Amino acid sequence: MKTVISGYQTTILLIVVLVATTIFFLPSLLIERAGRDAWISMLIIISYGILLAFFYALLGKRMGRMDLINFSRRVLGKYLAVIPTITIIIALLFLAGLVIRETSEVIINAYMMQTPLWFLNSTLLLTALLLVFYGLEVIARSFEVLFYIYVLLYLTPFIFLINELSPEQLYPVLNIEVKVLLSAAYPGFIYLSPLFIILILAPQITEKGVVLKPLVKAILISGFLLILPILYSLLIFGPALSSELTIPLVNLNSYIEKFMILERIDPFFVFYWIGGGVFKTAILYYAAAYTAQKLFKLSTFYLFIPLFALPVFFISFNLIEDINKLKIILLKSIPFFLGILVFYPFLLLLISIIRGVNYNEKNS
Amino acid sequence: MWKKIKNLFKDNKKQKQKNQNPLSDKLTANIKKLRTMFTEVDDVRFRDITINCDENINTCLVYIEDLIDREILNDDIIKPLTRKQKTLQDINHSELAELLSEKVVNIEQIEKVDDIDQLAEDILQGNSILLIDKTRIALSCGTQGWAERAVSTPNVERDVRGPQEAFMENIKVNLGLIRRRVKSPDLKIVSFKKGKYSNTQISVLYLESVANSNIVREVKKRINDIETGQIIGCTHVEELIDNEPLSIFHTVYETERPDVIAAGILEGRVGILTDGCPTATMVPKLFMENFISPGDYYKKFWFTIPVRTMRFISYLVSTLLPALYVAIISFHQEVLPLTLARTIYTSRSGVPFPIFFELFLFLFLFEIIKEAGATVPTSLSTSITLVGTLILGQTAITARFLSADGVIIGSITGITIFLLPILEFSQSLLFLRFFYLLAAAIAGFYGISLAVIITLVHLASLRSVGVPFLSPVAPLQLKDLKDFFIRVPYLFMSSRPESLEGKNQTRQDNRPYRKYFFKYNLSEDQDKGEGED
Repeated sequence: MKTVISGYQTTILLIVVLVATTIFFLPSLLIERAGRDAWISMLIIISYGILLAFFYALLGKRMGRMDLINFSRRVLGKYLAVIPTITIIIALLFLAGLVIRETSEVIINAYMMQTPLWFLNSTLLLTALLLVFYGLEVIARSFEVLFYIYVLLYLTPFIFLINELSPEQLYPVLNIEVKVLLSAAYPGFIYLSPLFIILILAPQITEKGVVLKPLVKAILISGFLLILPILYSLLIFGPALSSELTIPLVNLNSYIEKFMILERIDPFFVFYWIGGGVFKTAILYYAAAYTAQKLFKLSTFYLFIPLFALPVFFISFNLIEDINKLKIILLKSIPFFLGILVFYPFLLLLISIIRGVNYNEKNS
Repeated sequence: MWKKIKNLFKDNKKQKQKNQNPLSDKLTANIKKLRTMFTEVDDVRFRDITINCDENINTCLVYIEDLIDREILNDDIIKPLTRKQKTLQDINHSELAELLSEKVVNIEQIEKVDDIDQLAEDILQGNSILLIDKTRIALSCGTQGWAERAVSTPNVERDVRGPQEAFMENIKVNLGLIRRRVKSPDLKIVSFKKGKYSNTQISVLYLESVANSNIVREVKKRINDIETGQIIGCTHVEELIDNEPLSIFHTVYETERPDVIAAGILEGRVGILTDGCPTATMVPKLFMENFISPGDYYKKFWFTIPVRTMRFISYLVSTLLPALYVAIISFHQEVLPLTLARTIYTSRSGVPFPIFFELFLFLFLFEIIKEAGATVPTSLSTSITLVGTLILGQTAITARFLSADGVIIGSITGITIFLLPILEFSQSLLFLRFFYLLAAAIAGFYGISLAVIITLVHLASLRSVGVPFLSPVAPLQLKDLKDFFIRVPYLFMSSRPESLEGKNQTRQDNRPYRKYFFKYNLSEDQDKGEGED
């Protein structure tokens, strides 16, 4: 079965991978470290993202219509490619588990305190598995319908709160050293690492060799969407109070007072939180299953859907005790993700250049 | 080469199969064979006729009396045959069938048949068979005619301005209704006979230069692959050729209006007519077409904007309102203003059921009343509506069996369903409504979110003969949106839907009309005309 998605669909899939769940913890991690200059740290993360995009596009171009696993085999050799491929699968499944836990934690902390964690984790995972079962095309088409609704829901509180902003909260700008700003941007690396999935999606994009465009578009749109909660949190609550907030977005949403006959509208935003979490999990899970399919040279990835469910549930349920532990794990796992999702592709690119392996149709 | 030989062999085999039961040159033997075939079949008639010419020729007319038009049979077959035949002098027996069909029998639809099985099939279709002595060829005359109603007005898809014609049970009349609207040799009609016992005619209609040939091929293939004893109606065919017969959504368009099928064919779709069924089907069908009524095309385009928006809101209300209400009352009370919350909880005091069960019960009762109203005779339906809505509803609230707010929510949900123009779609929503209600009762907004995603994933996975069901929204086809959420003026409908991937995308050339817009000056044009004179 040949699966194809358009460049536009790739862009929106990358946006959900970058924005969903990142909006929960990244703002607080940045504000904690950079204070009122957290938004500059966010700009640094966006710049890093664009650099990463160019680098992935370069590798994607060399891969041509070949998938990452076969390309690794050609570059590193049959046996040497196995270890990094397995590590990629583990990394993607680990990320999927983290995303499920992040979504569940936010739901529990914000609205459904009495709901057991296992219920939320399992229902989120099962819905994501349904999406994976239908494949990438269906995931892309479903999210295409929801994308604008989610963006509208996401932007609603920011439109409502525009009168509450106090620009003086941002002054003085650049009050801290550049070194601190750079180190503050460090947590952003884990949230950008899922960009790696472009290398898995690349052979399935209808337009040949189009990797850079969707990547850059996705990073810029996501950057804009991510900088909003940071700026709003700083401008409304101020840097001191903002750094105390675990999930600033939840506080911003509940800050809206009245909407027509409704007393509060923040519970309605749960729709895009859950949707974002489910789609992000599904995409990462699909990427892991697809990689495994290519590794074992199978005709479908269906076998891996139930096979990976248990480890992902374990990661989301047993590995992390609470929301604070989740933040610590997120920070501690950054080197691992950087190693496998950024450094490994870099190595692959370097070796492919040295060895002259190039599957770009124009060159071949 | 091998393939050619194989095909040749296959063709020979087919030919052999076709002529498995050839006619004998003895009339009595042929009559005997047919009588054996139609043993204990009371309505088959065998009428012996001797043709009066030099050498008397014995013939036998075989027909089913309930399936033929007696007037045609008497005036155009029996009378000419019994007259003294001057044209049949010194004739060769091998040419007899040819001469009879050309010079004696006055039937427009006449065919020479040399196979007994084919004759039996023709008799069952309402043809009259003329068996002739000393020839191996019989004449099959089209004499079909039976009691049937006239073309009536549409019952389900009513409209004030549009054509007041609906399909009927006779496929020939239905084909004529479409042919009258698409007068082009490009309109192809390919017919199949399906059903071992029912032998039902299924006709596939498409515009050759417009329709996507892959879609046409796929439809033909799917119909050709049908192996069944009988075809009950168009829904039977629909389910047999559907991509997802288990889905609650219809990916095949059903309509009783010939103008809808004709418009669809002109857009590049494929129409399917089934004999004996007053409903026609059409593929591909897209999800967004569930919000489009045929009447939209007979109104000024401005009116379609509020109407289609209303339909879309009705869809959301009829599926999500009860669920949202249950979620708010049971899980997210904080969104309600204090006064409203007090009113709701006061009205609910004394009601023995939880809100989920109460709404479930009300919606279930509503469906019972709706179904009863649809199935009982028209004279009784008013009484049912009266008893169901006024008496039962009012008493249920007074007896504290249901709360007033539950009844209001349930009633709004029930009424909004009727705004949706496609009957099959509004029926599908019944399942969605209860699914969302259950999800809301279990986990509030969280449950609804997951349920909506599951529904959407299912919709995104559907295809109608290969075309994604959610087109043109997903995958996004910007050009096709001009006739979905709104209908743009006909002037701007220059292209056919891209989602159908038809051969010819140009519907009309807009350039000739553009000059009339905003700047058309009648006097200038007249002056020009006078000057020319």
